[in-house]
Formats: sequence, C-alpha cells, structure tokens
Amino acid sequence: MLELFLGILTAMGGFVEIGELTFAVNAGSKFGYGLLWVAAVGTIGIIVYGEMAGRVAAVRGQPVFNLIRERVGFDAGLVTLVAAVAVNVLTCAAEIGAIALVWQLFVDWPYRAWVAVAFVFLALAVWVLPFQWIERVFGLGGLLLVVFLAVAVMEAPDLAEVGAAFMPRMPALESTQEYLLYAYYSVALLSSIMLPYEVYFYSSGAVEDRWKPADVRRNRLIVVLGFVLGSLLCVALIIVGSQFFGPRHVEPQLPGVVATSAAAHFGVAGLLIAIGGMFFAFAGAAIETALSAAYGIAQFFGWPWGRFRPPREASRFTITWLAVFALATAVILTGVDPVSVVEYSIVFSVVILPLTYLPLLLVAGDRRIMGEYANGPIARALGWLYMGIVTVAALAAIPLLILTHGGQG
Amino acid sequence: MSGASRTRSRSAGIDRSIHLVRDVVDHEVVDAHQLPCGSVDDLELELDPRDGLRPVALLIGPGAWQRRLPSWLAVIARWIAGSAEARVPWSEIAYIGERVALRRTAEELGLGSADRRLGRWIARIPGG
Amino acid sequence: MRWHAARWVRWLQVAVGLSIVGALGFATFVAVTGKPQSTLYITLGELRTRAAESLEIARGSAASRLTPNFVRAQAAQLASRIASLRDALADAETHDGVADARTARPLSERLLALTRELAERADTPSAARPIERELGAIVERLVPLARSARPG
Repeated sequence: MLELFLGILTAMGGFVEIGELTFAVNAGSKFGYGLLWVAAVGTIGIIVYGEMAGRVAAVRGQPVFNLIRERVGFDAGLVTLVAAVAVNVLTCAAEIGAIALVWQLFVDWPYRAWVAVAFVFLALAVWVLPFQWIERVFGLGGLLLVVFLAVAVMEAPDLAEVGAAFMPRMPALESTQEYLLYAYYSVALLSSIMLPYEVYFYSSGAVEDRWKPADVRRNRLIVVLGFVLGSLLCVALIIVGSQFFGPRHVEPQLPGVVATSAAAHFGVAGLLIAIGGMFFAFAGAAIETALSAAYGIAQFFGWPWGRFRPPREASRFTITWLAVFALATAVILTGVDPVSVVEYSIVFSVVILPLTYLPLLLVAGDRRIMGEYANGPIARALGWLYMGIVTVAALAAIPLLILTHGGQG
Repeated sequence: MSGASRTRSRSAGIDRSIHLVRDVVDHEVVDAHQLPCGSVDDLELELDPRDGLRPVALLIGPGAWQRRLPSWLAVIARWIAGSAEARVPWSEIAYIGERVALRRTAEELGLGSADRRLGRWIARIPGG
Repeated sequence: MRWHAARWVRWLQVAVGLSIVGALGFATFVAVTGKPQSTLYITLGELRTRAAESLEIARGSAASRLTPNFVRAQAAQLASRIASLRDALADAETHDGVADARTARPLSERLLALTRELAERADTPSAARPIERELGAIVERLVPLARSARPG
C-alpha cells in the first residue's frame, strides 16, 4: 500500500521539467487559459501510453526498446534509436544547464563551474544510489513544486473560466502570426507532457523493479493518479502564467524568474521551496534522460543492463549513461542557452514520438503476446486516437518551429 | 506459433523456416544464467533438398548486423563498433520463447566479451 | 504483423523527413523571393519582458521577499541577456535604421545599467526602490512599442 502511494507521488513529482515549466508558464502568459485543453489532451495521452508501457513490461518483462527492435526490425529501429538518443542527450543537456542556473541563485559561482558540479553530482547520484532511491529522492523532491499550486490558488482564478477552457477550442487572435504561434505552443506543450523518455524510463523502471503480471492493476493506478496529479502542477503553472505573469508583461525564460511568483505570495520561504522543487525536478529529468538513452542502446543491442546489476556486470550500459552525461555537459558548456536547447529538444521529441509509440501500441494489443492482458476496447481506441494526434503533431512540429522563427513569434 | 501468422507458401518446410526467422531474428538472446548476451543479428541458413531452408546457427555481434545496413552506413558502424561476430550453433538453443535461451553461459559461447573486458576495468572503481 | 510495423514506421520517417524538407524549402522560398520580414518585433518583445522581469526582481528586493544572493544572481543572468538584446538593437539601428530600433536602443542601454546596478546593490533592499521606479517607467514605454511593432 505504501509502495503504491510512493509510486503515485513519485510519478506526480517527476511530471515537470524545465521544458514543461517554461512552456506552461509562457503559454499562460501569452494565451491566458487558451492552452489548458492541450494540457488535458497531453495528460490523457501520457496516461494511455504510460499504462501500455508499464503493462507490457509487467507482463512480458520486456521494456520498450527490445520491442522496437523485435517489432520494427533492425534498420527502421536503428533510426528510431539514434533519433531518441540524440533527443535525450539534448534534453539532458538542457536540464543540466537549468540545474546550474538554479544553483547559481543560491551561491554565486560562475555558471560553467556549476555545470561541472552538476555533472559530478548527477554521475555520483546514479553510480551510488540504488534505482528505487533515485526514483524516490528526485520524484518526491519534485513535489516541492506544489508551491505553484498554492500560488495558482492565491491568484484566485475564475474557476468557471478555467473549467470552460478545458474544452478544445481556438481562441480569437489578432493575426496569422499569432495563430501560428498558438499552434506551435499547442504542439510544444503537448510534446513536453508526452516526452518519450518518460515512457522509456517508466517501462525500464518496471523491469528494474521486477514487476509481474499481478502488478498490472498497480501500474494502472500509479499511471492514472500520478499523472493526473502531475498534470495539476502543469495546469497550475499555466494559471500562474496567465494570472501573475501575463498582467506584468513577463514571458519568463529563466527558472528564477518563475520562482518570483512564489516569492510574491509566500516571501523568501516560497522562493526557496520553488527553487528547491525546480532543482529536484530538473535533476530527476537529467537522470531519467541519461538512463533512458542508456536503456535504449543496451536493450536494442542486447547488452546486460539495469541499475539492479552492479556496474561491473553491465559495463557497457554503465559507460553509456556516463557518456551521455558527459556529452550533455559538453553541449551545455558551449554556452548555448539551456532554455533554447530544451525548446529544440521538445520539438524534436514530438517528431520521434509516433516512431516510439507505434511498436508499443502494436505489442500491447497483440493477444498472442499479451494474452488476457492485451489492450481492451478503451486502450485500443485511445491508443489509435493518440497515434493519430501525435502523428499530426509530429508532422506539424518542424514547419511550425520554422514559421514562428524558432517559437519566438 | 499460431496458424494465423503463417504465410501462404507451398512447402511446410519453408513455412516453418519463415516462422523461425520472424520469431527469432532481432529477439534478445539470454544464456543459462538469464544474462542478456546480444540479439539475434543474423541467421545462418542451409538449403536442405528435403526441408528447404533450415537455420543452422545464430550470428551475433556488430559484424552480423552491419551486413543489414546500407554500405555507407556499414562503414561508419564498423568504425564505431568494430566487426566482431559470434557464431552460435542451432544446437546450443535451449528453447525459443519471448527470448532465445541458450544452454550454456555467455562466457563459454564467446558472447558478451566486450562487457566482461570493460567490467574488469569498472570493478576497480569503488562501488563498481 | 512485424513487417507491417516496419513499413509504417518507415513511412512515418519518410513523412517526417518530407515535412522538414518542405518547411525548410518554404522558408527559403519566402526568404529569397518575398519581402524580408522584420524580426525586430521579436527583439522588442524580448526586451519588454526582460525589463518587466528586472522590475519584478527590483520589487521583490525592495520588499525583502528575495534573498540578496538571489537578487544578485538573477539580475546578473538577466543583464547578460539584456546585453545581447542591446547589441541586436544597435545592429538594427545602424543597418536598417528602423525608427523603433532607434527609440528602443537607448532604453535598452538604460535597462542594462539599471539591472547591473540592481545586482551590485543587492545587499541593500532600500536601494532597489528608485531602481524599481525607473524600471517601471521603461516598461511602460516598451509595452506599447513592442505591441505596435507586431505584424498583422
């Protein structure tokens, strides 16, 4: 029972990372409540695919990238793998940069020094901590972001207006350019909620935690409750963007600026809680992206993998996640703005999303493999509906990125 | 192996072979201790006058999967991953389920040597 | 089943590749043939929000609800971004001579100076009050400027 509770809270705390944080607050600041329905659509999507990934891992003992290779073959699978790893490295780089930005707010060292410290910290954390501790510490630490739920409440939003905004609709905007920007934000926000590394990590984690078919119901509860609660954080950030930052003409690009909303209502305590929550969320995301990349490569090539094995027994896997951290650190040390990096990584994530989800959907629905645990009518209908949605988003993403001058207007 | 997945063809021997190709290639290989030791990157087939194509051995390693890539990509892959290849005779298979399980350990069959070599280095680091 | 999956994924990869190529081609076409669309409005919009963010930091500092180190570090992070915006505006002023750029550049200079001052005097919250007032004035000038520069 405690396990279930912790699992739900961990899923909730791990929902937000620098990309989702930035896009949600900016979405609120630019478009008010206009993108709340996208947050809802994205949340249902990640629940559908998270549940499938967990169920397949519990029943087959196979995480996602094993399935991709089996189902799709070597060449097409290799393209997916390379794309997924590249996107994961980019996202990891952005999170590391964001961690450095956040730590700078506490102690005034140069940014690059903090980046190096972040690398050492993350590598040590994964090396030393057992898998469950990694999940729990950073997942539960991310719950500090609940302070933004409190901020959203304090901003006293009109609940009827908020509720109405969950119905999909297009707001009335002033120009074509603004409609394009709205479309771009829809795709980006959707992507930031349905980031593929979350599904890879969750499915591998299920195997790390040794889930069995009996865990299928627990999987469903964790995914539904954890992600719904997590989406509340996302909704809260949109509301904060709309009610706090919008009237102040702020479209934040720096995590510290977002934290000023907590300071405005709760003083220094609010500020510290917000920054603390951001640190755990970003660090958790950096770890998850690096491990996801390593899981993907190891699983695709059939290497021994997993933190449940001591590093010397899964040596190539270990070198891989260390290399991902190192590569991500190198990328961010070039001085490129972490928020720009994450923006690109989110757009490229949605582009590869259908490539990852299709094999998962096919395997989860295959009665020959899953037996009685294959997709029921709801999972099948939602799975295919979202396959359509993410395909449209994937095709539109890069054109929209270009047409909106890199998402800036 | 259900009848529904069998493709139309003339001889039962070829039927059986195609089945195996689909259910074996690109599947994970585990040894006697349930340790992953690669994927089935390629198959060695033999043409038997009576049964048609018969699988004779599993081919595992970069050398095997590089052959499945377009040539320019194979060159890059060889530069990154080398071209080692291990040949596992069909008789070494214990059973074929979701994974291909082998009778003996990876070490005995010459699989996963890169992992073992690296592992010796990593074991020197505290916590490895 | 498996070969269907391989084929669909390959089609998806091709489709995505085409959409990227198509978008790049379209963007190049527009850039080459059409009137070059000014992206000054983006720079002005960013300047406006950075000014508003500096204002928020100043407000927080004056009200003592931000730690001195936070004020110092955040103002410094903002200052480096404002500096690049200032450079971009100086560029636009000399090359395109656009009126909006000419108006905005001195504002960006003042904004940069104020933000740096905010960082330097982070330990004395009372010093933030006059900075806050002047930042407020700058924001009030930048908001309509950024809005009018937007296309459509």
